[in-house]
Amino acid sequence: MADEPSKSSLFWSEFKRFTEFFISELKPKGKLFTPFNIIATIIIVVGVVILFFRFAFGLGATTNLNQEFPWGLWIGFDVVTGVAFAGGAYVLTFMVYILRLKKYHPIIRITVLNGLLAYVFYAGALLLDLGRPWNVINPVIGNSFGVSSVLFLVAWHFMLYMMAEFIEFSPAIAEWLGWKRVRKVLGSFTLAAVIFGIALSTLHQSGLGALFLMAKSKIHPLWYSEFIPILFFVSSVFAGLSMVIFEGSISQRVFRHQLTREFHAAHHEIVYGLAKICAGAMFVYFFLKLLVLIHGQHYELLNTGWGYWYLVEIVVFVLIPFRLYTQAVRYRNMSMIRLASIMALIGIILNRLNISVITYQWNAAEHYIPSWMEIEVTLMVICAEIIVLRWIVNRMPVLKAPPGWAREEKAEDTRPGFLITKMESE
Amino acid sequence: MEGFEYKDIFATKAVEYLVILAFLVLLVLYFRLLNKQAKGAKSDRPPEEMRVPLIDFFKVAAGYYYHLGHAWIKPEKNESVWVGMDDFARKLLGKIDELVLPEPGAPLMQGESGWKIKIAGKGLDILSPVNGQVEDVNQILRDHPEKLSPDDFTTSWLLKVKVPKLESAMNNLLSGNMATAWLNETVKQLQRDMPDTLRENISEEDIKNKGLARLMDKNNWVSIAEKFFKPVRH
Repeated sequence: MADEPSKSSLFWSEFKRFTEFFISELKPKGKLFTPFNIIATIIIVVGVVILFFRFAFGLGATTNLNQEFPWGLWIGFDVVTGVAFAGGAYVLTFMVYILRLKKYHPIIRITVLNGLLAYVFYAGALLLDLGRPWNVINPVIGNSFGVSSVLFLVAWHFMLYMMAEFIEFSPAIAEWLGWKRVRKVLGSFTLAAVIFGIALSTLHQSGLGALFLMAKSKIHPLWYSEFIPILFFVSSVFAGLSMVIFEGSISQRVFRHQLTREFHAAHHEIVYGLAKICAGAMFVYFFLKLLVLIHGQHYELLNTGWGYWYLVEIVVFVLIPFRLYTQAVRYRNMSMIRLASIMALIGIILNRLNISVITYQWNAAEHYIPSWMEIEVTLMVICAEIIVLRWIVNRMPVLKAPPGWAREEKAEDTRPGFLITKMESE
Repeated sequence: MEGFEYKDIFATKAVEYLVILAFLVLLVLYFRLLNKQAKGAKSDRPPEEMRVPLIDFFKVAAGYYYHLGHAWIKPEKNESVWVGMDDFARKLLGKIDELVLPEPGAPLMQGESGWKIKIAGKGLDILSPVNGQVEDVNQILRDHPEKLSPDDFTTSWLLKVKVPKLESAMNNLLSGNMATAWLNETVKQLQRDMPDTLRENISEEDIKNKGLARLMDKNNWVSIAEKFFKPVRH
């Protein structure tokens, strides 16, 4: 009993310290009035106003969606494409934690963070598109599970995967807050979260494709196939890794002061490794597309307007980036890899939009074209994600080295900077 | 939802099998192609012959203690030390236009900005290797920074500093083998960042005048230099 006052005063002093630290961290770091900040603020403010109208007056007031076209840009781009772009996290965690390819360790945190935020923001944009968004909880709480629906699987997977990614990233949060014991406990969950996350990812990347199996008569035959789930899964491998390469080339400039020696030393080798995997995955993907085309027996459709559009997607945005990746790996050319990653990303956007929006109801008299408000809200989601990402990277040990106490034992001792750290502490 | 559709799934089987067989064969060939580096491909690692000379190219002097911000101290009697910039710093920066040294009496903090150098209109802070008070300043070098010679340690001191707790200050400094090992690591880092074209055509005269940082990147040399002068803290 005698200990109690001191314990509670300890708690309060710790609580005070934490609150002060947290408030000081909330303050922006760096200049406020940069061109990006100004443009992003305008986009977000306008987006919030539009969302007010969307929730006050319904989807019809802000979008061009109707009974014929229930899914538009918010699903086609934000959710379906955004999730493919977030695929880098499960591929990379698989490589680092399961295959033990330590080479890729320096980029694991930024990739997991990107994946987590992509799910929170892009998959979160799903809520904007639901007529009654509060019902989103139904498949979880059992107010009609809807087990026979693919959406049941997607809902559970999204929710569980976000949790798994949060656990994977949580050690960085504990390091930022200086919570040593919590860091230790969270760190021990990582492997389990990774294995769980990979299982969920492989299933829901294909599950998103499976959603479109129900729309056989609505999607153009060149894009529709029973194998859409497999195509979605295979393409998510190079979509995710191309995103990692693309974002890496940007964050290397934006956050260059934070990068550890480990990152600098390994960066080129990491990018070549990722590009090689992209090239391999695109090789497989191209052959799958070819098989699906043959199996579908729709060659005659290739010589139509839609057929040319299909060929643009395959030749310009699959075969050319595939060729670029191959050349770039063989000649070790970084700028070619960047170009290939951008083209591959455009290819994925085209593919997902073709299936979910562009060729949807291809033979209908009227077509869906997103309203300016839908595009604005999509831009808002992207800007908000970038701002949150920047806030986190500037504070937590994502790209910069973790604090000394948190450095993982043996495995990391071989990194170039370690010699210096060791000597410094001696 | 949709009407019954008759599709002869056997019609294309033969072609599909052939495509799969072709895929398997091509996969093997493609895998070999992808893993074979093309002739004339760029290499990220410095050529073998470049590695060793550049490491020995930067001098570590016996009896000198090095700070990670590339400044050294040489202890004198009565708790006084000579302070200067190491060989790596001088070769990285090249010819200095202006040296802004603190006045005698000014306090210095280890790991904080100790003095400033100006090159081509841009300023760069160099970290002080010790805590203490400035006793004397090298007037000759202050007035004629171009005289800072990379080869001569004895005349290239910048400050004389009184360090009350020299022992504890020296805990954070490196000397002898430790200093050499640390400098080797730093040089490897430098080599990784160096463009290939420069690695092959590096001349001592260029290094002396322009410095490696400016040779590596004319526009962003300050950030290259800062990376080495402000060591990552852990």
